[in-house]
Amino acid sequence: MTTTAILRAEGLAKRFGGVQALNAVDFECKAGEVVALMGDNGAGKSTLIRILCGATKPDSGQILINGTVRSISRPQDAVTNGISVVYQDLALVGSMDVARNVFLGHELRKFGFIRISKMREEATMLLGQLKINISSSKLQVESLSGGQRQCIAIARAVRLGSDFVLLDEPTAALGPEQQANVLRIVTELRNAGKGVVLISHNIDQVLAVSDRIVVMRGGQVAGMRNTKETNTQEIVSMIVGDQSFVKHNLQNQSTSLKGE
Amino acid sequence: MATKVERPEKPETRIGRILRAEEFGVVVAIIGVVVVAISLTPNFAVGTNINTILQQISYVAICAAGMSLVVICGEIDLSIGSIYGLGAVMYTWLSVKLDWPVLPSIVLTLILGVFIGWLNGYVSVRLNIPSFVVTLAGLGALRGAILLIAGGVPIYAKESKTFTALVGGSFLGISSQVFWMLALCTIVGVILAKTKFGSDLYAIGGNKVAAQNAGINVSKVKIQSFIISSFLATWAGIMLVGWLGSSNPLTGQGSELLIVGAIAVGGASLFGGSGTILGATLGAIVGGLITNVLVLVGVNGNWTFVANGLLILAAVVINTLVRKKRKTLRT
Repeated sequence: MTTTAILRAEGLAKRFGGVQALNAVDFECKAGEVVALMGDNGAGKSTLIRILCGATKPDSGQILINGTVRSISRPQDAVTNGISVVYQDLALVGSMDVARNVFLGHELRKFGFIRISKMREEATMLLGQLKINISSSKLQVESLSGGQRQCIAIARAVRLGSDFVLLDEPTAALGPEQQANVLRIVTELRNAGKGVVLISHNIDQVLAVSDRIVVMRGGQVAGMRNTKETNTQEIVSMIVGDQSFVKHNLQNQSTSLKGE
Repeated sequence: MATKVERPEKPETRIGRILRAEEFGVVVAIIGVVVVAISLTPNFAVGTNINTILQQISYVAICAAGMSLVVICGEIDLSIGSIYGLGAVMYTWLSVKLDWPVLPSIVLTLILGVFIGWLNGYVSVRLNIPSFVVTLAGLGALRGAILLIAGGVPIYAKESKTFTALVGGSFLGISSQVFWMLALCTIVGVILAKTKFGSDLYAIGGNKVAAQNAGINVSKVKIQSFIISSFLATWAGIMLVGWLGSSNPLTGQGSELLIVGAIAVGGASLFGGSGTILGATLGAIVGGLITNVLVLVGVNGNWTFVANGLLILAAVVINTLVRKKRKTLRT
């Protein structure tokens, strides 16, 4: 089966004062795949995501969607081009209800007036489709758990019809059960043909849900692996930049093969 | 497989909804003040006194309705009292001193109000200067402008049937200002509760970054809120001339206290994200009732300032405690 590359970044570079946050970064995510973006703090993951979602302008490089160069200089541009980003804590308005958050910025209207009943109805339906169990779309978001909030933020990205969903550490600060829920929804998104970019520090989770892993270090792509063809040790070594760690493991594997 | 319920949420009962409503506290306060007033003086529950109270609070309520939009999106307009005063003085200056016809005088005064609102919003939002600093400067500068325009003395409005028909008459014993209050507060209330603009205001005040990420043009919406607030305050100033028959260079001085008080007493958070026009209007009524009762029972007029100050403090303290309690119950 061939898949269409729905989002590609070429030669992205960004400097903040004396720090080269990104340097000639190429990145790609295809429809129906989950790409995990890993790296230590300061590796450039967040800068890359911020550029892809229009929150930061790159110094150079370009973003292509389905092969066409697109100008994404504001968050609105990203939404228009089918890219949604789900930030860890910055996605929702706690004082508003679930339905209003799902439709935030894109409310359903008739004659200029918000159709709150219709929004609640559709929000309930959407949450049902994603198997997110929240008893009522009238509930204030600040009354929900961290996991439920994260799910609502993802549901909003889905409702916008985004082809491409960027998740910035969606499971950080969540309990194990809530983490499992969020990861299940990530899988649901992939099954629905969405491209998902997942920033995470949790290697076990990344190995469990992703198709590819891109490791960043010092503002550059340090390596890329298909998830099925790698393991925790190799990913850690790529994150910390310890090549001897990789060589050591390869030697160990070779010794054990000889032994057999 | 469906996600397990992480925490069961109890369906809210009708009584629970009423108790949780932002306006609940202020309704209780109104009932309390009315009961005390009736027991203290027989002159309170008289038709003319009720009309006087409503007429007096109409200016505060209209200004509070406009400024609620600013407060809900997390800003504040401390120059509102001066804008209100400028509305009164500018209208009389144009129509009396320059002898302009009534309608062009009203229109130009309102345009000036819109410009001041835009300036307040633009400087606060685009230059990223806290609005309380910008509008505090506006409070002083505009008051100075009022004194210069009026020459430090009252300007008496000229006789005009058009003006009287607009803001000077009454219907069924109820002054036109009361009808203007009902109409404008209803319109602003509907805008806030039912339109995307209103929803954007709540979103910005609740979580500015989330609003930005959702594609809401935060700067534009905030500037619009300042413009509407200033427009309504200017109109309230013009209305006052219809009632008093003159403008005074001290008109509106200190009224920012009453307006902020009405909004706070109405249950809005002064940090943004919550509040209703109904609450602000009821808040204005509480302030008006207390002032009226103190006057009727013959208390020294200066006590009204003390009462209003304490009322704001009590409202903010109670709101803060209630919000903390709700948060504790949820976590």
